[in-house]
Amino acid sequence: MPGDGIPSGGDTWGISGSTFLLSYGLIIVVVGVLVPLAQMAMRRGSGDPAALAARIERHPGDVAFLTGGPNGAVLSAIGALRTAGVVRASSLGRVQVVGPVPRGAGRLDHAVHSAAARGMTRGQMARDPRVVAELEASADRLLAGGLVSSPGNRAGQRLLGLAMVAVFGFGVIRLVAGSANNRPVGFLVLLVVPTVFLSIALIAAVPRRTGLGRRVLQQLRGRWAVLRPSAGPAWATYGPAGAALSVALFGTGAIMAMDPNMAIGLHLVNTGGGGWSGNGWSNSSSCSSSSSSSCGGGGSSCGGGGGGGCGG
Amino acid sequence: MMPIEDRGVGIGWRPEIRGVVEELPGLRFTEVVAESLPPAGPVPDGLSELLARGVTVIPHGVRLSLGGADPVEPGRVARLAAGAELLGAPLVSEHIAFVRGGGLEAGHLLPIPRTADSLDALVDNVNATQAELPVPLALEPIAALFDWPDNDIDEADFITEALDRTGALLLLDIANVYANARNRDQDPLAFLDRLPLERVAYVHVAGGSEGDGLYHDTHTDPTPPAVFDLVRELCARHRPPALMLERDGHYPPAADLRAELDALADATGYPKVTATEPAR
Repeated sequence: MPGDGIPSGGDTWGISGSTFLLSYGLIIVVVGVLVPLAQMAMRRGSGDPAALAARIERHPGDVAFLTGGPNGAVLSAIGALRTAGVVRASSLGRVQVVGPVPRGAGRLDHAVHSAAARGMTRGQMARDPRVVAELEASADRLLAGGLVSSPGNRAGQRLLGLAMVAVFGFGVIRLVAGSANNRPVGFLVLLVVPTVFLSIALIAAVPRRTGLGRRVLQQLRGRWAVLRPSAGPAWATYGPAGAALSVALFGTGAIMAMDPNMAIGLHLVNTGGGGWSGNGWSNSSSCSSSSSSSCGGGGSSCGGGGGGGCGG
Repeated sequence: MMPIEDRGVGIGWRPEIRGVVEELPGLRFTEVVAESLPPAGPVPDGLSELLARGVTVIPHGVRLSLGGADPVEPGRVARLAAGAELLGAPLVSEHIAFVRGGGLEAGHLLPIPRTADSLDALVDNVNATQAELPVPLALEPIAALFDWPDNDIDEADFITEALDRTGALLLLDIANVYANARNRDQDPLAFLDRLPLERVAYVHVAGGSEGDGLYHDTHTDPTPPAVFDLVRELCARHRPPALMLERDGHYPPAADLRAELDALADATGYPKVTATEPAR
């Protein structure tokens, strides 16, 4: 029964242990729900997703940067160059350059091609100054379009996460007071510990994309369903731009589908599942099974995890 | 009255290139492999959009084995019929070929011997099939790299008699006509002239390649000029209601596919389907 503790100096602050636990738990839940909601509202963004999608799809590198950051953008350029036949599978995180950049290639493609020709690994390419310059231009365009949050906006979202830190602090104060009062604090510890992780999550997990950016990506994945790797698109038919867009929208599975050896050589295959490997971005659109039951050409599995797809 | 009229030129719908097929502004008909359709639906993505646009989609069967010695399997016929209903198709097509025998699957289309017995078997199978189909059936003769030694009926006669005895229509594969004539050193025009061209429901056009002194009707190569010439000759005699580019693999850049479609339009006199304004 509440309040039936071992009498010893009375309840801390005059509030019984069970009452405090209940209230504290409620506070955690409320803050844990309200803060993310407030963060989402802060990054919502406004604009016409369909119109923006139609504009951004002409710059697959920007789309790739939106979904997968610098690594994503580099990979989409590699996909384009592979489809153009000017790079080939290699090993140790590299690709081999076998031809000049094709006509009509974008600036990012040029930069990645040059970096590859100098023997850089995928990771090194993302740090190459020429590539970085193109990525910064991408970031600027995405910011101007309202598809990513400004640094100030993200800082504001993180500040909201401090509310959970306050909850943590409040719990610690109660813990200290309770111990000093020789009251049992075991259950309270069980509640305070999660607030540490919640605080970290709410402060750290602030995405760069705005709500508008997410809606634009939804539009794009719908418009370009034909490029879904699991549907087995004919890469030569859709060309380098199509390949870049497929990598941008559907992740490493596209590289796996267009050239499994290159995916292995680029160290894309060790991590399982769809989306980006190695840099923590999760691609929210995972592989759904294609409605077509005929086997498209080439490996049709989405994401790493070995072969799969249709045999032969 | 043919099931489809004046549909012009089209290209086979394949998942690998469906983005290109679905974007053709002037497309008025296409074809899909019947066995790739889920019998109870739904219509695959992309095809549903084409249907909504008023494009005719024809299911093309490949596994019925109408030319086989065994009676055609009712389940397979039912599946073809279901495909026709699913797509609201005005006709379906299949092959004069066999794909299984003695309990073994060949895995692809094989030519049947041109004998009286095999003609009887074919006619029986086609009649049994047509009895269960809600729409007319068009039969496609296939290319053969060799002839069976016991062939005693001429190919044009064989096809004509099969059509006469069943009332089925003809899916004329002009690339097969070219391939067969070329590999036997015969005149493709003489062959064309002996076919009932007024029974042609639609036409397949495809590419092939040389290998080992033979011409292989691969469907994975660009259509050669000689086949376009044959298309022109065919249209001069009796222009078919629809002609379809059949590409099954090794797909080229989209621009090449569109150029090939335009070349087909030019050879037939039908409007180009790659432009919104029909170019004549």
